[in-house]
Amino acid sequence: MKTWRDRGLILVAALLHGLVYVLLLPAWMGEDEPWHVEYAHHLSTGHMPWGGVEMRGAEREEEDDRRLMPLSQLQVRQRIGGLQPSEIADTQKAILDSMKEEDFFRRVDFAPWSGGASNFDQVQDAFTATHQPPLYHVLAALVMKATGASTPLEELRSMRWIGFVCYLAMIAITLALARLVTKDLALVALAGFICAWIPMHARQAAVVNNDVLAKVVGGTLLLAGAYQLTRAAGKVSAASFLTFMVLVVLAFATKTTTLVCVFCAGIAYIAVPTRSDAGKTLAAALACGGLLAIGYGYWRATHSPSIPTNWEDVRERLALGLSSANMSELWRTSVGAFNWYSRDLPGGVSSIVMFVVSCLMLGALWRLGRPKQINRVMLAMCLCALLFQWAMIILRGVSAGRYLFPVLPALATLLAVGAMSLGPNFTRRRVVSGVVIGLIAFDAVFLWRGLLVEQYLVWGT
Amino acid sequence: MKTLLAWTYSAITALLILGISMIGLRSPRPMIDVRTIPLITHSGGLTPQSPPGEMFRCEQNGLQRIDILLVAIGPSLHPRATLRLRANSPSGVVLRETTISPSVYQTGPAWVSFEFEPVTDSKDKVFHFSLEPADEAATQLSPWVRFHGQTGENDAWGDRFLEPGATHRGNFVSDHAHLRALAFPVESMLPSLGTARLELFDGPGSKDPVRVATLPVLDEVHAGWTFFSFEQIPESRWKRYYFELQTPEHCRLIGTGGENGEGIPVYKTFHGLDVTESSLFGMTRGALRQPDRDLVFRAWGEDPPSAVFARLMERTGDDLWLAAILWCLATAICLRVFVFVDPDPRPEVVSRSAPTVDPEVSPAPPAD
Repeated sequence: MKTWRDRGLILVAALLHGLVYVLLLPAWMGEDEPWHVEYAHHLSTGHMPWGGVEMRGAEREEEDDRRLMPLSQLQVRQRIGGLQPSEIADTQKAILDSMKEEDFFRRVDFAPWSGGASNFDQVQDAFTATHQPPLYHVLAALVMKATGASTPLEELRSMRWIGFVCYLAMIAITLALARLVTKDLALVALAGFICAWIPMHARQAAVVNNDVLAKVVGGTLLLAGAYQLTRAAGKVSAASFLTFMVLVVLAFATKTTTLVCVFCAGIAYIAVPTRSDAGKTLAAALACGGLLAIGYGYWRATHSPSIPTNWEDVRERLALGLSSANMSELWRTSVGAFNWYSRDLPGGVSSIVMFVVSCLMLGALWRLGRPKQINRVMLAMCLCALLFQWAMIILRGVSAGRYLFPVLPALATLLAVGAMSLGPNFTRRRVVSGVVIGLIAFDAVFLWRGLLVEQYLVWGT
Repeated sequence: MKTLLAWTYSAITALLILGISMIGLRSPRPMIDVRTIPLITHSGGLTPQSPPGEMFRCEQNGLQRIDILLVAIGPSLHPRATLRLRANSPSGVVLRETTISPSVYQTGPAWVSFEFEPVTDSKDKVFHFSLEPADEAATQLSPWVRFHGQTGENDAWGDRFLEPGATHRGNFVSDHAHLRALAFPVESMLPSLGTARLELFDGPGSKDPVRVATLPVLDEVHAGWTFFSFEQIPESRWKRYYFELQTPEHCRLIGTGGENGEGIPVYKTFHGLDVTESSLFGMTRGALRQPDRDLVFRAWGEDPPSAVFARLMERTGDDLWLAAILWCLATAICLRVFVFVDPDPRPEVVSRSAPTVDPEVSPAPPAD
């Protein structure tokens, strides 16, 4: 496991592994897929994600726009310009018909009742994807056009390939980041393998959601920041700074969950010139601060629910985010949950995974104190990225494991370092073998005992 | 040769892991599984006069077990409940009868299994089961009900009794089209002692109700949700409706406090249409049929491994085989890279092209 050939093999294995999930994840079983397909569909028909009609609230009942159409449709109208109400309603109905045909309502236990459902409010109230930044959906619309998808099911299937490509990109990013953390190629390969075999991440190879693009943009930002930290003082080139700026714009155009990666990379870009030139540091800090302000303003303008509106809101979100229920949800949806998170892994598996992950994280922390063959600065950056991302999820007040994925390269690297640090040198290979076999067994349980059973055998009546 | 052997070991191990994982697929699963989360309406304590039940068509032979989700609505020490399985309908011949002492507590719902001798030729036949209290303690057990529809207004169970024999009023904006029922929590509702009547109006001063609903005599409820269902209103979305609920003298609604501390009713609204092609024919209360709702239950028949795999193949198509092959290949590659590794005489850290400096001092990106 010490050559490029082995890392190539990891990528080939990841490709096959991702295809397994593409084959086995049924249509509409990725979380929030109907809303994302709806958004991309409207963009694919030539509409733009701006110029919509502001909606009026409920101060006076007779002026409440909800008398015109359901809230989920008003939210679409608010964002996308030029849409006729019938277009919005017909699109939702076509998607719902496809969901009924593909047995969505038999698989998702909280979806109340399919009879008479004709708009998305009857699946989940007050929810939309159109408040999301549009980059993923623009990309998806282009893919739809290129593949000639015409029905909602075809649109969904064509969009899923974006997730697949993003999954492979994440593994490449992880290999590159781990290479900056250590010269130990065995550890690098192990980090790539962990990234590829974490089941909930592998499942994202088949999911339609802007989180799949957010993780790639976030991971690339982390990698760019890490490269900067390896450079000698004062060596930030204009090209690399321009790359960073482009990545930040992409991050803001993708999803709010990339914010921590922007922050970490920004610190790295500012830290490097600091060593030589105060003027450059100031300029870099101002540029980063300006970008953050523009991004924040943009997200506010698009009614993103991720952005707190006042201090009261922040306090409420913090209380929610720090609650044990929220932490438990974050863990549950990171490790394994099926059918729109309405069903869990077989009992006991989650506890075993928690024990193993704790051991590996302790190993990584121990290695941080004794950085043999490890770049301590890089490892510290990985740890900070993970902790900041966790803090951001707490501040958001709503948890889902996929919100952690923008820092997955950092997490996979930490876990790989942890695995390499458990036990003395002569047992290292055995420990690594154990971790690999353990993760493969976990993936097998997740896929064959969890996903396959819950998606195909346990259907509600 | 060693390389070939390593690949062989990797492939065999991958196949073994896959095979062991697949063993779990053989375990039987219910042929009918009424799943609904969160559970929002329980039907109230069991009564011998109008025991709750359900009619369903069996999809497998060997019907042998029915699970019912129950919750204790009051202190209930060693309750005993009887399940009667009948052919065709509530008036059909009793085929099986089983009495058990379920462990159900007030802390939350629990599945209670009623097992009986298998009905060998049950496939494609219609059955009915009812759940009756075998002693006084079992009247504190309540099954859960799934009403057919999406919820609009969804109030929680209240915190006070409202005045009995009164007319309770309220109004709401209907969230969805096809408004078809309102449900209210009651302490007890015995239609034989007096009729409750719900009138629904489309204006505050309207005299003519758009819908009227009363409860049939057998629709008794003790500490549960009572449903007033009516012909659905197709164009109900985002319209305000006003209701008047006249309760009989014996009936206390359970409500909550209004802005001025007065008691106001809590309720749920249901919207939607029935679905075709279901193996469920609805709930029963004694001889009364209630096709617009189901008990939350599971039914188990003979489900041999061959049938499970056949079902799996039918639902996944050829994708399952292809996925299994790809998974084995992917896993074998990883095992070959990390576990069944050729002995390597080279040092594990590449140092020929990388600078031999302390990475902490000058962390340069190493080359391969």
